[in-house]
Amino acid sequence: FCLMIRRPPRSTLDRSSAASDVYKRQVHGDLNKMMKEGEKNEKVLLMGRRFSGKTSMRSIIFANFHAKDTIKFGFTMEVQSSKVKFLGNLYLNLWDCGGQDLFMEQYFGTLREHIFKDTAVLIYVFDVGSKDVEGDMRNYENSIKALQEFSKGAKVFVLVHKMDIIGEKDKMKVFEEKRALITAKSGEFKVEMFKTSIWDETLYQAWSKIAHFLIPKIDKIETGLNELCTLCATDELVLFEKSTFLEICHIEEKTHKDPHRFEKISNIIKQFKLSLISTNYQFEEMMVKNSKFRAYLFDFTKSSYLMVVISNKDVEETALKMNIDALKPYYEKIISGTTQVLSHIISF
Amino acid sequence: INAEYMGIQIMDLFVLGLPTCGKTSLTKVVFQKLPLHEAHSLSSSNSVDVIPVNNNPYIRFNVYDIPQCVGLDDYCKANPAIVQRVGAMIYVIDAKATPFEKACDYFKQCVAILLKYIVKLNVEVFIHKIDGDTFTKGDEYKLECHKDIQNLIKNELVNAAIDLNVSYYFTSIYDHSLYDSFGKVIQKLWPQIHYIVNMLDSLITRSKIEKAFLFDVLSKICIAADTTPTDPQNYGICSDMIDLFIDMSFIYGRDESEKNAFDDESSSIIELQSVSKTESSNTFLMLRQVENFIALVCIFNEKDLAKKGLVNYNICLLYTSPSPRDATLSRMPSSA
Repeated sequence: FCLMIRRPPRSTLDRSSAASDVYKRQVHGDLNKMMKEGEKNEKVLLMGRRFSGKTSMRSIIFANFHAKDTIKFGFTMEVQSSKVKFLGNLYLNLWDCGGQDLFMEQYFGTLREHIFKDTAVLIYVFDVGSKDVEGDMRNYENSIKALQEFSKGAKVFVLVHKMDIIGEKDKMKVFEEKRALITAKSGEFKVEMFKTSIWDETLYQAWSKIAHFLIPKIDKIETGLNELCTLCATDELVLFEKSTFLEICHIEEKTHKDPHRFEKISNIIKQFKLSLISTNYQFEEMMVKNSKFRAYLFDFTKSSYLMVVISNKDVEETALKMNIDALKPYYEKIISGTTQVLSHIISF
Repeated sequence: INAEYMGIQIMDLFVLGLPTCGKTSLTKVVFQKLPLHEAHSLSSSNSVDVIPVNNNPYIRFNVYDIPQCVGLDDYCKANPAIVQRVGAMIYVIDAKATPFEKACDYFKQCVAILLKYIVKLNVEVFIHKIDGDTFTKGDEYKLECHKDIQNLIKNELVNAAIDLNVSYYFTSIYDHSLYDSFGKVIQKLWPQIHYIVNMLDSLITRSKIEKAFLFDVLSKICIAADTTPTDPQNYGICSDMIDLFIDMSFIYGRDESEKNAFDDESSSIIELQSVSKTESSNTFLMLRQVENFIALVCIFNEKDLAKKGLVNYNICLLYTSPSPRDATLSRMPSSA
């Protein structure tokens, strides 16, 4: 029984041009054929009930949609799969599974094996404002059971979404209540939970952690960056992926009081890039400073940006740029997976 | 800049309009940083809201958000001191609430009442909520709205025998049009604007800058620009750059207790690559603090980047000139 992945019927295309753009951006086809040599493919299942926000999230992170444009989306027709290139040679096969009850029955029934086998990550999305909590939990339980059968080693992330409708003081309470319910139904999986909303940086925090989990050899990148940090006497180094602007890893020499700053920066730069889309310009580099700090954002490797934060006034900008330019090929190799080390590094 | 001379308070603004036309959301979004998605959940105002704008000694004014349920006439009678300071009336019309007869009728009433107390009044009409499918698909609907409203208002004013120039602006909280319109309204009220515009003009010619804007960073209103034609795209990019800059500074550039990160050395440079095939050099956006919460944002080309140091020097001169009257153009060194 082959998986029915097809273009949606006319009616959903007419719903809005934004919705049909989402479908047009996707790559349909036999997923096995997409594996080329040297590429690493990870299957990521995005599940949850209808209108929980899966397609909106995916469009904002991977397809450069603005949060306010996602309101126009209609429902997702069955499973929409897309292959997203992430950081060099890593490809994510993102399966956005439409959450209408009819489709979900198929996922647990006839399409069970096809959907749940070979999965690296399951991202389950709950709409925090949903009135049918029992139905939500039932679907979740079924997904966990099916995942247990076919992909025991998968990692499960749960996103409690649309948190913007909850008042600030009730957020933690509601989240902990959900956490209790969800951990009870999670079987043997150790689930990581996040509260998210498309209207603030929490969305980037959750997806950053998911991306972090999927990147192979991330410790090699971290050790490399550590060296760079000490060489250039910087306070902080952060590596961002080029198209999604998700934080990949960071080195902190000087502790900072805001642990959520990376997702805030992802959100900030992404918003700026989005506003440039309708103009003739493309973002290249940035420098921001005041009397207390300097921050530089450089084009680093083919698939990443590097942000350098310095509060030491003695560090010269030109020397920093020279060092980073000299090291680009070295990091290009690390990030693309091989580990050949360059014989020399210019020291500061 | 001589504080005595420049410290004249700009005249205040009255924001009026029918209920639910968007007065409270637009004043709060611009002056109090209200997040956009909360703008829908604001409840109807039932009393006058005063927002003081006081970030800088040279740009100071108050914005009064007056709902219809508070009788304007009674309010003016009870607060003569406030009414004396009003320089402009912003009337907000919801472009989606056709027909416009009711809005224009209330407009006439407001104008008639205010003219009893104020001699010189700038009347600005914000055609608001210009967003959504009906307006983005083409300009015809926008122009139709404009024509309708303009005709209705003209008739109302003629019937009431009021002779007044009315300016119209299209606005929406979701893009730069709102900030742009507020900027134009404030520029009309700022007496020193001509001196500043002259200074900006000489700055850009002598430093080979393409375009320069002076922004109030907290409200992102453009308080002055040089006299070359403004491309709305460029204005939008500069405005977004301020957002980016303020957010980044907020994260890294302040200590625990401070509430703001915009200090004397605040500056930023963003390099943009042009996607069109005709241009081969990159464009640079430069932002530089010139006063408390006032930033100069310039756009220039890569080939003129070597002049960066010169631009900085020129800006310092702009900043320290004793008073606008004395700042003669010969003080600006020309770029050799």
